[in-house]
Amino acid sequence: MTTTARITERLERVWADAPGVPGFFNTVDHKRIGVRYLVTGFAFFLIAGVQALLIRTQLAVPENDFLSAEAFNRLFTMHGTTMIFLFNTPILSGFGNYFVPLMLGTRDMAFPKLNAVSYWIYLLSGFFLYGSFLVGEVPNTGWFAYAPLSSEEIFTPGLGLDFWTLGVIFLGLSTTVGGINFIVTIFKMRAPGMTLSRMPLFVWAILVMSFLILFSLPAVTLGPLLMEFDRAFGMAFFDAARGGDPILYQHLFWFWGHPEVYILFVPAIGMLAMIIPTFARRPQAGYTWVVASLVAIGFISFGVWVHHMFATGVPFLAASFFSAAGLVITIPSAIEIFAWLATLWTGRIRWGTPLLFALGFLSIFVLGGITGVMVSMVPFDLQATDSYFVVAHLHYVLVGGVVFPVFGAFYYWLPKITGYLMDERLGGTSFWIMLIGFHLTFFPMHIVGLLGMPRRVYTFQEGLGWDGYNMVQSIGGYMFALGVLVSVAAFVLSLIKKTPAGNNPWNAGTLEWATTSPPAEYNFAAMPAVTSRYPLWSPDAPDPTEPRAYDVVLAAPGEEKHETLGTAGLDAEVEDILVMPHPSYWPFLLAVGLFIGFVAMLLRSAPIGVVGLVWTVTSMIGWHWGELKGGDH
Amino acid sequence: MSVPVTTEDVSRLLQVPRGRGRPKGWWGIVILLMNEAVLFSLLLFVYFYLSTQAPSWPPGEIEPPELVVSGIRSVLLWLSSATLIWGERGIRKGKQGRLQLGLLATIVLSGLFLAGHVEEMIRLPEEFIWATNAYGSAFYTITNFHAAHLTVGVALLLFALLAARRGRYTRENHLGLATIGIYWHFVDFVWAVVFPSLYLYPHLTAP
Amino acid sequence: MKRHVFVLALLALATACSTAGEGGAFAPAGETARQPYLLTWLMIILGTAIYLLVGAVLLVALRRRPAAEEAHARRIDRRMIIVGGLLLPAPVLLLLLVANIAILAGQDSDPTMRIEVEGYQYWWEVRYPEQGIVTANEVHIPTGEPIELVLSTEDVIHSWWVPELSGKRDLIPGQTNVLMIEADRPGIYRGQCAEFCGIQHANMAMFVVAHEPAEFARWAASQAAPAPALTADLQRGQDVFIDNCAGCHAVQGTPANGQEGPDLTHFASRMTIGAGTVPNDRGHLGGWVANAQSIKPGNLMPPIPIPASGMNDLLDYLESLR
Repeated sequence: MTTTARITERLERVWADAPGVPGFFNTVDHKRIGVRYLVTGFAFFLIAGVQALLIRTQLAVPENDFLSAEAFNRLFTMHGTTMIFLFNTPILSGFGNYFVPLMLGTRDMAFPKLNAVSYWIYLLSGFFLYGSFLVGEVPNTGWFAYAPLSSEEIFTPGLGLDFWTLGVIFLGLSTTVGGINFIVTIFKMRAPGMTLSRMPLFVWAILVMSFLILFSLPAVTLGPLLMEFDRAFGMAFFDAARGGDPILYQHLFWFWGHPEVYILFVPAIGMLAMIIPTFARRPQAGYTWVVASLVAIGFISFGVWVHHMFATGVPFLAASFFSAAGLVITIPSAIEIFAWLATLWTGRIRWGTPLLFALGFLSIFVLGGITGVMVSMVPFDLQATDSYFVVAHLHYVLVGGVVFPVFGAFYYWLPKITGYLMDERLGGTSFWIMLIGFHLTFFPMHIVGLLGMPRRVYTFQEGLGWDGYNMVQSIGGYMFALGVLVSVAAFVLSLIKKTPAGNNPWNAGTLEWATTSPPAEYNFAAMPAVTSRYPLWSPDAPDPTEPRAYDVVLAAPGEEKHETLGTAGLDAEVEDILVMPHPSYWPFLLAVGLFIGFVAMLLRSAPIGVVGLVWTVTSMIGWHWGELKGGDH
Repeated sequence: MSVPVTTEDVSRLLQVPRGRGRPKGWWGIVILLMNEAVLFSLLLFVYFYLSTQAPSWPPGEIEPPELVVSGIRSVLLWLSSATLIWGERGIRKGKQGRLQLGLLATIVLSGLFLAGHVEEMIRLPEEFIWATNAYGSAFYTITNFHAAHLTVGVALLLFALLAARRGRYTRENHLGLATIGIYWHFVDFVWAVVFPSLYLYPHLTAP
Repeated sequence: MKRHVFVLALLALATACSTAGEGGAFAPAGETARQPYLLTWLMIILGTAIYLLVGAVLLVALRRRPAAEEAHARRIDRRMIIVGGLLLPAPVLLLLLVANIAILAGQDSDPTMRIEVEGYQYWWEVRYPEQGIVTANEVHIPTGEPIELVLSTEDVIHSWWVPELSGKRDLIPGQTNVLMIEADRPGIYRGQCAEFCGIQHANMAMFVVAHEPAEFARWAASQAAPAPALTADLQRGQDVFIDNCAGCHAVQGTPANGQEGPDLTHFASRMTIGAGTVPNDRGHLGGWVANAQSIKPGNLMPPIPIPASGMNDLLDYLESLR
């Protein structure tokens, strides 16, 4: 056996997960966790999509009785909640989880066990929220659940809203912890030589996203928490009669709610900034501009939240300030768009499905950005807000700005994850059906909204002039769904046909393509050092199979530690060898303990609460047992 | 440089410094505390926002909070940061005894603070509870949020004390202590903002 | 390929243009709706131009031959980013911001009349404090005068939105909001509650009815009067009413003084039942009284079982409340 083979065989043995069921529950490998995020997130996307189709079926004709009012209200609530909380944010975390360590040239996230618990909490919070269907008490006051409708049990009795508040808080733990993990990973585990200005733009985007999460998530923990306190303990935060204020809830909710849409859009920018350069066969134009815009978007996004509240009677001065801030945030987004146009303009275009979805982003998101400028204008917003116009706007920016890039990312990176190519013809077909279906569904909403159709209505009257628009919208919805199914078929087909993708099917330039497809458990046998932004496009491209002196990291014979490099500083100088944890059941068990705790809060049961608390504390102790007993801290 | 072919242990080749910089766990806690800082800031925003909506603060018949006992226990709590720093400085010079004494003093001081908090939670409901009005909701929520964070801190300190008694910390290696320390100082700092807001401010605005 | 998308976009816009005048925000009927309307069209035109421009740049980009060398490419990059990302948007945004502030600042608030609107799940109480009128779901105003609506509620958040007359304003517990409306010409202007307020949010419509000033004065006078005197037949109907309805409903000038539901003193003069849910005719009225839940499930009026003869009398009585 050659030295290379001996080294890789040793790495495989040291880093391998346990097979079968044990390995399923105790893995801490960022790639397996990333795949789980992608699978679970996409499953929720399909579920929320079915909910949307049901909504569109009900609204296809006026005064329809396909769904009762209650059923409809539950569906639009869960559609929004599922899409934002259980699909959009997690799926971007999934790509982040899988690809950030690979792009950084390292072997895992900074805190692999924390990474695992982050996923388990996500999954269990999804079960928690959907448990509401099992008991027949489903949240039904919209995905933002305004007070006092949602906060007082006389208006919304039963468990539905408690499922919502507690489920959102539970999920928030996962998101927060994920954000911390990304920040420490990106600052402390970059490949030697990977200065911040050599980092792939997707990593920059995840970094900005993580800071957004850090500073905004507490608000969407606190708003629902105080709402639950009002419900469960009769507190008065949002009860005007006892000195509370329903608007306080809106401030808390939207203080998170607006940064949230950038938590979603910023990683999508990162994805596009990986895909477009690859398919233009040149580096991203204006890298520094793109980074500066990402950071600017991050900061400004905290200064616009009141634009969701213009109709509540905001004073003139405040309204003008938030209006201006909303206009200002257009500039960095425009810079991003033109940075991509420039990349395409000066590049040598290579066609492929990922590029199609990137172009779909441009077709849809630019229009959404324009309507975003429109609703930033207070006099116009007072007509458009809470109507189908804003439903159109939000779907244009979220589907165009996030879903289309995500689909592009799937076509781009699935070959790396699975090792198999996806059919280009099916990809193209799916793209066109989705694009046309999308415009058919959502463009007419701009018009019918301004004609007077409010949002969240389970039916509408005949003879108002809204019928035609709604019918077209429903047909479009089915078309869009068909397009999605074609992509699902393309994926399934790729697993059947098993056309090998090779290491770098797109001839891209960043480090994740320097691994095998799929990557080995240990990612890189030789820890790469980088000297440029696109290491694989430069003459000294690292070869994953060739261990070079200096960069192999392996424990002394007989030791079975997971090791990788720790770097620091702007220049990513090596400062330590990090020892990563072995697989562990404690993350799963901790998540279960927390789940029990949240069930206890839902049912307002002290005995269950005690069980949950004991379980959680025991899991935390077990988690740290190795350090507690002694040895490396 | 060529790779030796007669051995598969290439770790000797790695000229990598070891143990430079703070452990990643420390960074994790720092970032977590940034998140908690936002949470407490929002809680105080809730408190002050509600105060602008009320004709007087506290509203209705409620008296502003008593200051003597709460003031004393606040001072004790802030003192506990000093005792912890004193203990940490001790272990930096290798003085195990000083570390343990410092930890013990910190725990005792915070125990007194918590005892005072419990007393307040028993006494206050005669005057008002969390459901009386928004002021009550905010007061009980914020003080108990802080107390919960403090309790976690005490648990961490107890763990540190046990570990210190088993000789876990040395002059060279006491990084875990720094992590617990930063959490503790954070909790004390939060109280330095909460106490003036909840206890002093109502006295300033009362007629 | 991208051409197809642009054709779609243009078709859609043509549709938009063709619907102007079909109502809603596209058919402003007064000063308070006209300024946002002009702004709307300015932004639609500007927005379309920008969208087409970006599309054109994209199309050219996809067909171009690549740049010769790196330095040349970088110059093009910088130019496109600065022009497209900064120099083009900034003036447009500045223009819009100025327009925004100008419109907001220019709104005068010198109303000739104040009307109180209180939102309930799922109807609107309308009060004219100066004239002593209480009605529901319909706001009658004289044309050509700025009217201030004073908006309040004690249950959940609602939102008043009659797009032909103005933008919307929320009704929020614990707070009073005001909204100026003005109608140039007589007409019936329809709106719907625009903030999700519970299960029957979709069926909480309202109507602003604008009259010529003389006509409005006549309407106000008749609404301010108490219920007309009763004949013997109608007395039976009133007895049924007091037995079954007075717990929640009021009729001025009678012992019925319930405050839960809408004031019915001049119920027969209103166009709809259930805040725009069904027309106010005898058939629908009978159905509503017997079982409002079957028409508007989840609204706060329970079924009222009344034997057939009593129902007839009751309906006669209600129809007399003009």
